[in-house]
Amino acid sequence: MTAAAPATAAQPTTAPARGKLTFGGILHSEWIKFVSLTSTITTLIAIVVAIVGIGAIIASSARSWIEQSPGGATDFLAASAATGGISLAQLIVVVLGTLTVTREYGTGMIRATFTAAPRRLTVLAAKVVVFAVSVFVLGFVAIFATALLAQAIVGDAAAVGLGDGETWRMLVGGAGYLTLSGLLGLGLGALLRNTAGGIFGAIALLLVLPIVLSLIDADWARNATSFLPMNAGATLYSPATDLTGIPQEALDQMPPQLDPLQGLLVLLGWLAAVFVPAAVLLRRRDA
Amino acid sequence: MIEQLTKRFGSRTAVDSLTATVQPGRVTGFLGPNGAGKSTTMRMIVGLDRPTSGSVTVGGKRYDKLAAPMHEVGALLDAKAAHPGRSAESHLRSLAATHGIGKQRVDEVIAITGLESVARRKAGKFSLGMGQRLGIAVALLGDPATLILDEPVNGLDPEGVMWVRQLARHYAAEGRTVLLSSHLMSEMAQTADHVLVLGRGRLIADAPIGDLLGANAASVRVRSPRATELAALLAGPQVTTTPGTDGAFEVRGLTAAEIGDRAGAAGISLHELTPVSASLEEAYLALTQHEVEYRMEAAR
Repeated sequence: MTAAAPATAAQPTTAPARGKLTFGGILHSEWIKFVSLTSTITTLIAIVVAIVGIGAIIASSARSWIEQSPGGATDFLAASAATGGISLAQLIVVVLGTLTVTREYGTGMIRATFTAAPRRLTVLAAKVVVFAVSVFVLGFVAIFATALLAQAIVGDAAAVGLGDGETWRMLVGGAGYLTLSGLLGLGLGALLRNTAGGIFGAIALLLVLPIVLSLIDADWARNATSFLPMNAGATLYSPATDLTGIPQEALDQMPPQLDPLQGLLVLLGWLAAVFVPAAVLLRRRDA
Repeated sequence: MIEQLTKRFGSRTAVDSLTATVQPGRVTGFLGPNGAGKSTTMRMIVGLDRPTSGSVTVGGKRYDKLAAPMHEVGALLDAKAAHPGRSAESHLRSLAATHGIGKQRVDEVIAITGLESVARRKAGKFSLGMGQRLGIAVALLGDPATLILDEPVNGLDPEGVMWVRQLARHYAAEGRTVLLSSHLMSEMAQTADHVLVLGRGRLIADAPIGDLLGANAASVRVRSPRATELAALLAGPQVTTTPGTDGAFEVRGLTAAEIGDRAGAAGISLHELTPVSASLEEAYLALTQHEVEYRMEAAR
């Protein structure tokens, strides 16, 4: 490489506009960082593929099933197919969320970030906003497109009820859950500052803990299952459970059923449990 | 600027009650062996490390309280502080965006640091020298009033080393504050006006570079068959003589010519008369060897 001639190199240049450090600026900075990595783009594509792909598989199976037993379609079939890929997509989103923070620590980029913007909590907030908005918009577009695709595959029996509140609740709830599960990864990444630790922590909370609790034969374990992040989050995008006709003794044996709003609040509680210590440590620790 | 600054990592004290002020309009060299606490101090200036006690301010304010940190301080602390998967240009643009600094300035610093041909390449593919230039480009983005460069010439080719020296001198000449660290005294001798010497986290010297040399002023090595007689002849209030090895002795406070003249006048033959100019390197070694006991206040 060639160095600029020293004599000209040190020439004063036109003074840049004297901007201040603002939240908008930090937000813009985080957006540039988010989209300027090939790996982020690849990961986002993988999320779309997971949602659309699994939705198409579910819709195809539903089609042959409906052909054999006419009248078996549910009102929410398209929405169910559209949200069927979420359990896979959430794992990719969790990894992306964790990496958003931990790769900055792993590469030393965090020191450049915090030198440019020493207000660390503001930086974390900007990361959350950029990540959440991106994943939510992308997730919703993918889920909505999958619902239309499912309708095309299955035919009229699975019409997307666009005038129907429940359908919208499932579609928006799916994108919402995807976003919040990703934020769980992002928060754990900020807390642990380590990629492997962050991803393992999130996977443990989402997938391992439910298995562990299911092995414990006790009422508290069964009841607690409903409050785990994935189960609480699933209420956001699952069709409402129809409990009519189930005998009372059976109901008593079942874990408590959260409605979507309760599920959302529980999920937000989990996020608070991760983000509050992450924020406290972020202010205190050396970068 | 720096007051009673202390940083401990567990039981190890990296910076120990450091008090100093870095003045604008000159290049201040920050000198000390590896592990003396230079980088830690610089990291504390920009708020990356939290001081255990004491404080450090820039223009009277803590770094994280500044309205526009990048315009106040430009810092190169770690050449590898870039995501390897991101292009140099995107790296610069993302950092510039925090202060609303536009693409024009990004292109300027790319040109200043001579990175035009590789700006679109991923930072992970950069050599150490290119990474160093990218780090300097980041430091220059805000056209800052204070420039802090930690070991800036590491990995640079001779041309790059020259360029960094000129950059530092140029910034100081514009009335800006320049703080430059190195573990090599020779590097400082060519760039700095003033030096802060750090050893095991303590400030050993805070003095103009000339004074640092003066304190370890030049001596003359003298060898003579009538050494004792000669030493007595040379003795005076401003003169010290120290016996050296193999019969020679060191004289301070007289030039070689004066010693020769006096010896000649007294008819004492000389077998050796060698001016020993203390290099900055020696002055530095002398300082850091006794870093704990030896404290030198700014020579006035």
